[in-house]
Amino acid sequence: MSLLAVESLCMYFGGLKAVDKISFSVEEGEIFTIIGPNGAGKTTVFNVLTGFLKPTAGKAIFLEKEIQGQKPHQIANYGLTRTYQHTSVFQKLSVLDNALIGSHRNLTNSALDTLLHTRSWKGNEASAKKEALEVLGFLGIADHTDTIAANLVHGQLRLLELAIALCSKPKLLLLDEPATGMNPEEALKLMNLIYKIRDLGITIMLVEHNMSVVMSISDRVMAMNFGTELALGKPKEVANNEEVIAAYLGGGFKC
Amino acid sequence: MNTFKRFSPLLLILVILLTPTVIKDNYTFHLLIMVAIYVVMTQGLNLIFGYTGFLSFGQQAYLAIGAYVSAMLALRLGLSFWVTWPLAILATVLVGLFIGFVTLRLRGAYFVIVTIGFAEVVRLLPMNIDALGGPPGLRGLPTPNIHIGNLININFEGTKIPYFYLAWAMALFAIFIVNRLVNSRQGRAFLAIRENDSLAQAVGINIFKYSIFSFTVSVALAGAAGAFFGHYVTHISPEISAFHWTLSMILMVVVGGQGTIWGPVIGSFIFTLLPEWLRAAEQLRLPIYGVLLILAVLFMPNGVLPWLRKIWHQFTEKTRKAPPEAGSSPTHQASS
Ligand SMILES: Nc1ncnc2c1ncn2[C@@H]1O[C@H](COP(=O)(O)OP(=O)(O)OP(=O)(O)O)[C@@H](O)[C@H]1O
Ligand SMILES: [Mg+2]
Repeated sequence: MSLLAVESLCMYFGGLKAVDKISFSVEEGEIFTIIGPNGAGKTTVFNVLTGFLKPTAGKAIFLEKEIQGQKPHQIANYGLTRTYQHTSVFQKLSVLDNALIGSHRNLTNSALDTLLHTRSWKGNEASAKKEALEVLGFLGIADHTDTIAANLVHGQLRLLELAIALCSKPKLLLLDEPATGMNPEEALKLMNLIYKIRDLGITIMLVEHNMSVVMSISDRVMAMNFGTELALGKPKEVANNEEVIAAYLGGGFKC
Repeated sequence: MNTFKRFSPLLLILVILLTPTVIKDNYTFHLLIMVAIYVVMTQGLNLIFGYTGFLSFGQQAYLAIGAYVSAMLALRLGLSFWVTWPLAILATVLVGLFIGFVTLRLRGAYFVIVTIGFAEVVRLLPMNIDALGGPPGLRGLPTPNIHIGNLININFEGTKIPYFYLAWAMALFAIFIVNRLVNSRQGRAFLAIRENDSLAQAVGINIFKYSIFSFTVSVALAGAAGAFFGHYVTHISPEISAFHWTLSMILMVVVGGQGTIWGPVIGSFIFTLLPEWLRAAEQLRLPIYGVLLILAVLFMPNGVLPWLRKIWHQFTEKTRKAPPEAGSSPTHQASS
């Protein structure tokens, strides 16, 4: 049984077929990458999978549950978390608070526990803080724990987004162009982190446009164009696919 | 800093307990009671507005619901304040849950318009229903006298001191509740909704549920304050559902420092005491408030609290010259 199975998923905006009959599955423990030119529908796939858009048709099955059309917070609570293409953090809060918000779904203390400062509140707060600091350390931004997010530089912000997502302890993590705006050195570090995250047992779906990165990091690649699936397979196979090459020659693919 | 933090609530209680040894005149007590009532209301508004990001323009409606429910129960059924007060809060909570359920799915203009519209309905009801007293309102609300056998006899008539203690007990309780909430997963959910609601959902926060939760606590505090106010002045009229109450609250929260615990407290002091000094310019009060609000938004978007903190820090650094210890970060939103 695949961790995620997507069956002829369609997302139409009026006449625009942003995603058109896409099918694929993601196996536990792999890094599955979606590539494609601007407007191919990559982000739309993520938006549908995470419940931010209701698909026009098709199914998405995550951990044997049909998730299409469910609310974003419900899907996140099954263990499917995403990051955004455009930097998205809690701007006015400290780095630690950002990470702790990520932990929300793993904490169990009720509002009454909170008001009475029961043992449950204490235990939850302490372990959330400990884990958040571990995640920040793992990503190399532990020095900025008390910094307000808005004061971080771009590369650190992208890591903070990752920290928020990791603190929610996902089983499947959807990363939408996580290296955008990073310099090559930062991007390389990030890719190493993504490997490490996968080794922690978190399956990864990635949208990435840097082809050399894609080729080296991905277990499998799906190429999209105009909402449709061009090719799906091992990175080499996809890179040698004629339609994909044609799309490249057409100048469509970002690289 | 930490020891200061630990003992500051005790210090505060001590100051409140000792106030009657210093202050003797009834009028000052009246002002301090009004400050406390505003502290309760602004802690509520701050929770939904400052922490959760929904500007509620209709808080006066919940003030009125609390006041009228408590008054009606006391006058028609002869119940004691100590029974009508919790019932009034419960009634406010139920109405708040309903309004929250209808309005909080959508953000921005829709929420603002519906809260204003609902408040207008609540304002018109007592004006037009004779059973609710009509325009003159309801008179002769019972005072919260406490008689337990022959042992305890606290009489609220003729003296303001019991009201002063009760009002500030209520205010401290409101501060306590909000402070505990915002420093927890629940409070961080509120902040997440304010800062970035789609990211909040993406990590599993049910933003609808937490918005309703924040709103409900917020209106419960308004209801508690309204009911208390009624039994304090012993006479309520439709005036209690006038918009100026909410305008004052917004002013107190914004100028004091939204999204902080002590900002609204400072704001409550400023804008309860300030009108006393503006007495001569009674007619100009609202225009002056308006100008102050604009100035605050333009020049002190975070209110006076961060500014006071900065002065305090400069002051303490000068006096002890020691480097500030780690962990005393003044930037942590939800702390202090
Ligand atoms: N909510 C929406 N409403 C209408 N059209 C949309 C919506 N979201 C996306 N689209 C359109 O769907 C198409 C696919 O967009 P999408 O963002 O998925 O592309 P992408 O592959 O992520 O591109 P990029 O590489 O630029 O991020 C585009 O034509 C876009 O304009
Ligand atoms: Mg995209």
